[in-house]
Amino acid sequence: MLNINNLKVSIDEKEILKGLSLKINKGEVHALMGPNGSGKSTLSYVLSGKEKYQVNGGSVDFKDNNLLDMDVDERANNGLFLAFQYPMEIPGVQTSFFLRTAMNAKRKFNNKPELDALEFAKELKKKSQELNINPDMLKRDLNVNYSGGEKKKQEILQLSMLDPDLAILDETDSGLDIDALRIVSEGVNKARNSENSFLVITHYQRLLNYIKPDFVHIIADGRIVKSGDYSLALELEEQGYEKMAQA
Amino acid sequence: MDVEKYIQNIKNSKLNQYFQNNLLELNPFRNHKIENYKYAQLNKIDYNIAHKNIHSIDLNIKDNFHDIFKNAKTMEHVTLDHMQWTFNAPDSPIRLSSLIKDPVVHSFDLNNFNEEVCIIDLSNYLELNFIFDYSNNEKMSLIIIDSEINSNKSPRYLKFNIHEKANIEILQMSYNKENSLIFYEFNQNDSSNVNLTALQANNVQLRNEFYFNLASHCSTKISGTNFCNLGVNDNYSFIQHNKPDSSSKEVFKSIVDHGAITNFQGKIYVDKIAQKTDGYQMSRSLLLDDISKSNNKPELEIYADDVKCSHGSTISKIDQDHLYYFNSRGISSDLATKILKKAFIQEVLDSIENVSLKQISDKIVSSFL
Ligand SMILES: Nc1ncnc2c1ncn2[C@@H]1O[C@H](COP(=O)(O)OP(=O)(O)OP(=O)(O)O)[C@@H](O)[C@H]1O
Ligand SMILES: [Mg+2]
Repeated sequence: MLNINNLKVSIDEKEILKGLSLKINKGEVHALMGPNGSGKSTLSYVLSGKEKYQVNGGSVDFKDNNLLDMDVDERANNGLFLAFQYPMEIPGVQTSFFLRTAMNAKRKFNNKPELDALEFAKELKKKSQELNINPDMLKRDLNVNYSGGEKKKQEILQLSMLDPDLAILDETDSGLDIDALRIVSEGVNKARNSENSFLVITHYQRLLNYIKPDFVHIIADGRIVKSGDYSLALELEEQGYEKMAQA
Repeated sequence: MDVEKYIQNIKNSKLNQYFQNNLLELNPFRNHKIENYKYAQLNKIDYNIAHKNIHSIDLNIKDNFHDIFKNAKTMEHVTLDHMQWTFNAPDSPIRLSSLIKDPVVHSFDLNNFNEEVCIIDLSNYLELNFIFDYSNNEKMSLIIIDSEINSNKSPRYLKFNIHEKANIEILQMSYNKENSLIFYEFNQNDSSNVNLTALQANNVQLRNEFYFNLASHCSTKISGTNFCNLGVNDNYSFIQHNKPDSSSKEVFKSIVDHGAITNFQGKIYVDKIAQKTDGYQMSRSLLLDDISKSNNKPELEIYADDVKCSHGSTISKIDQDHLYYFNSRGISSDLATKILKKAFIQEVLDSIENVSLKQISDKIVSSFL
């Protein structure tokens, strides 16, 4: 699915990723943990194609294509999804309209006809109920005056509507209350299947109790310094980054 | 003629005298020294160039919007009352005739329309000037269409007398115009409400001047937008609070691209007896490229001490982070820009109350954006 090889990335002349490698296969869930400022969000932005990030070396293959060659919207339509750590507020654009536009963009890309209004409404109702999102919310402007947790839920709603092949969740758990964390995790688990993959960025082992990862990676200073299975997250919880990095 | 004296005159005069002077002297004094022509286009636009760019969008309202307006009445259904300017009436712009070709003013009693929506297509009345009266407190919705290429070259004058407790909503649409200068004057009597929405698109050279004269307990809402301009788009407004307890709210949004220029000048005047006035004015421009320009100039002139007045003005570009968010969900930059443009003017469209008026403005907007 995704193959990152020795990726080096800088922003404003400052090197952030210093030779990062990571391979994610179809059907796998990977967790990425690491101290503040280690480059987790940078990695997710580079993968999604945000401008101003300078790739200085390495390669990224996504479904056997060179990901770095694609435009942002092309990457998304090819099945990449990033749930943002800080979702943007878009005044004047209704949330449900945004969702429909995104779904139709993908369908057009795949030469499928547009979703008719009724089909879309049914799908939206079902998915937002699963995530316990109030329908009134969807009539409001996208993320505008949403609480921190509501924004995160909105990202997961987009994820479940767009049904990507690879979803990157950048600290989706931060800001969620206990119930919301469970509901969002259930949403992710429901979306999970043998054909898609997840990269879950988090600071807290608790999320991984709900979303059981196949692999856990620790990033420090722009490199993956340790990889293992779920037990690595437990170890980390006990010892903290500093000790782990030394080990 | 003495420019200094003229400016002094404006400063000292009440709205009506001001208006008269303005009309009379308009041509000789289209001069940047006069404050409300600060940004006006003085040089002739090269229409040959503009013509090449003009969109050939046919928006013949009556043909295309039949379904919406099957219940609407157009002005042709009503007999015109012709009348000469009354030279002795103190509030009539008596010297209008020196500027406007046809000295005849047509007066309409809007109460006669007796329909929820009424349409006035100015192209059917080339070069004519009107005085409208409305006194019903049931809300009526009026559409004024100003759209003919290459037609009237002289200014027009539309005056509205909104009587006590009367309620009116007006959608003013100017599009596909090569050249247009229209003066709108609203005299609002006590407790009257006016909700005016101005939609302007695809014009080469357009200037609208809006004059509001408010008595007490009036409310005035003006929402304007313009986009896809080809030359210079000018809006001037002068809201005069003469009596206590009235409110005015004005929002203007311009989208400018392809080297067009858009200007907004708005003035709120509050007389010393107009206590408890609530005045608000906001002008915002969205610049889509580096060659386009926008000048926004708010002005407050307040002589009462117990009032609430605020104004603001912004000029911005499309937010790259917003674009990125759209892109990251598979939406192309082109489509995202279109959506963000619409979002920018949504507030103006939302101010329209009548469903038919909403539908027609949506159609106009989606034809151009
Ligand atoms: N535009 C920028 N200019 C300079 N430095 C930047 C810029 N953007 C990010 N950085 C730096 O890059 C480093 C990595 O940031 P990043 O957001 O990827 O960290 P993170 O691992 O996601 O941290 P957190 O856990 O706090 O979310 C940080 O030191 C940050 O200050
Ligand atoms: Mg981060």
